[in-house]
Amino acid sequence: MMMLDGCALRVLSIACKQFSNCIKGVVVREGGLVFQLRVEFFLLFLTALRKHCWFQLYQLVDLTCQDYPDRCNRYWLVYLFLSHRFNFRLIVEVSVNEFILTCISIFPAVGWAEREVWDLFGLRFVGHPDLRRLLTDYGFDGYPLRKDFPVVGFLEVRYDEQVKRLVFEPTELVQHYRQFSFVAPWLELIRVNNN
Amino acid sequence: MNFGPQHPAAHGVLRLVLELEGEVIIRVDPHIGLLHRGTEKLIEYRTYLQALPYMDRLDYVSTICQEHAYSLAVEQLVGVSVPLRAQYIRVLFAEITRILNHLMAVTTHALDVGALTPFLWGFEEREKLMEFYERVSGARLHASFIRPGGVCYDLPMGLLDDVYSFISQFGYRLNEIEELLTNNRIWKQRLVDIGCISVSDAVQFGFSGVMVRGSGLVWDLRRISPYEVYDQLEFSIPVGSNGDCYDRYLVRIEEMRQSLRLLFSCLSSFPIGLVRVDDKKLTPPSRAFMKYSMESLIHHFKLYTEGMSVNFGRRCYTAVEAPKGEFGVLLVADGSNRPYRCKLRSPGYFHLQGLNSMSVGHLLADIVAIVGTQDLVFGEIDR
Repeated sequence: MMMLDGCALRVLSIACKQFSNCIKGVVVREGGLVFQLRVEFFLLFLTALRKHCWFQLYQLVDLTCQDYPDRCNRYWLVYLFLSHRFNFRLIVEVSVNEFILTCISIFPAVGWAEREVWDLFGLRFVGHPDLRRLLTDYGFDGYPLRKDFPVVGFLEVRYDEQVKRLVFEPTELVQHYRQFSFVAPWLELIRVNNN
Repeated sequence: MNFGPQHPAAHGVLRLVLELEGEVIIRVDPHIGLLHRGTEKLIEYRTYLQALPYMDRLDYVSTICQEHAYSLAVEQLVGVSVPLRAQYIRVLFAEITRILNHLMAVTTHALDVGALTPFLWGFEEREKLMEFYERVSGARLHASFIRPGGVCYDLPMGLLDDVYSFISQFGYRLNEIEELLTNNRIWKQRLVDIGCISVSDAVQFGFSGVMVRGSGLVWDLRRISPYEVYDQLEFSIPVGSNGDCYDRYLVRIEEMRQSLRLLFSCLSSFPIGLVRVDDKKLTPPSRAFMKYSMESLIHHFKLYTEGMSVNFGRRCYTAVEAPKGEFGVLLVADGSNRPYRCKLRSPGYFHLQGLNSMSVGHLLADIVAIVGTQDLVFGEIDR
């Protein structure tokens, strides 16, 4: 049984009373409160997080994404917020498929975080003023952090002496990339069944 | 105009595309990703212990702080707390790391702005500190020392005495560096009123650490949400007032002095005890035990091949007060011995994003001062 402190309880009660249409679920995890939102109302809820006097979550700490290719909503976005006033951290989760509205007008800090999620996962943020690649190379094709993108990648780069420039060729490993899983076979079955 | 990836003042690989009108900056567009190594993707293919050295290589100036954040995150996932001696060792090295980082930040900032001597003096002190890293872990820079479950090895004999002799002389070294810079007319002209940012803007842009303390907000995770033994140690939090580069420089110098104070109070109350969690399903037994006990041998084998496993569905975000700001690790577990997703929230990422708003209207030479004050290290920005 996880204990919530007074601030978290207050946030929970206000959210459940006033914003119950936005919230799909609430989870109390180690380290705090997590709200799982409905996509339609998530911008409304984020605005409330900023403006509501009992939330005052002015800082967006991070925006991350997880890829669950087996689920119908593939991307699981996680927003982390911090309220300096109340010393309170909140996690907000939304599951989406292809695109979602940007919250850059509410939290300017999210600009690069959204660019990174677009670059690495391919999740488009509608309304973002400058959605271009951030971390990958200039002509890179593909979305690296998706689960179907191999860790060795599809193309590799080398400098070709004849052509006197960099060339991109399909990845050729001298030895096949081996990933040893030392989990015992009977435990592996139990885990797969649990998942 | 391109402030290219290879520039002595670009603090690593930073490509800034500047739009200038004469010498005045209209827009700054940082192009990052030149040091992107795919750390997060790689971590998804490693066990929890194998992923630890990736943390060292993120902010390669203050290596142990990222290991600390990651270890705290894994321990929170598993639900274990480390013994007291391990916590003191972690705090000791966290503060040594803070001094290391601020020495580098201040002196390389001074180097970029034009003062060449503090750089050499500061790096001599860094060598003395890296000697502590080496004695305790074997590596000067990338010490995979703080591991999930505690600390890798216990401190060697005589280390605490040498830390004390370092502390005794470091105050005078700091005085020497300050004497060159703090009341220097040129230094003040280059830094005062440059890169001013208010508290509300800083918070809005996701700034943390010295960037926010320099503007006046008293926000230090060591005091606000204390981890390890920070709630039992006494230290003050320096805070600036103007939010300009000069204030942040002063905050960093004072933070180094407060780190000395923390180190001293750590040394005076160092407990004896275990340095790793006793649970052998999480941390390996010592080699001596491994060589004569069958259970220890099996635990050693299983931990170094399969690694420890965390239940499905557990995820947590843990942040520490890294010298640059709030460094956070979001770990998602899926029941196996590998993390499903490990997101690294680096402070420099958000600081660099705010570079545009901080430097509009300033001159080209001020960009160098602002980039230096933001304390950017591309290992953690690009990951």
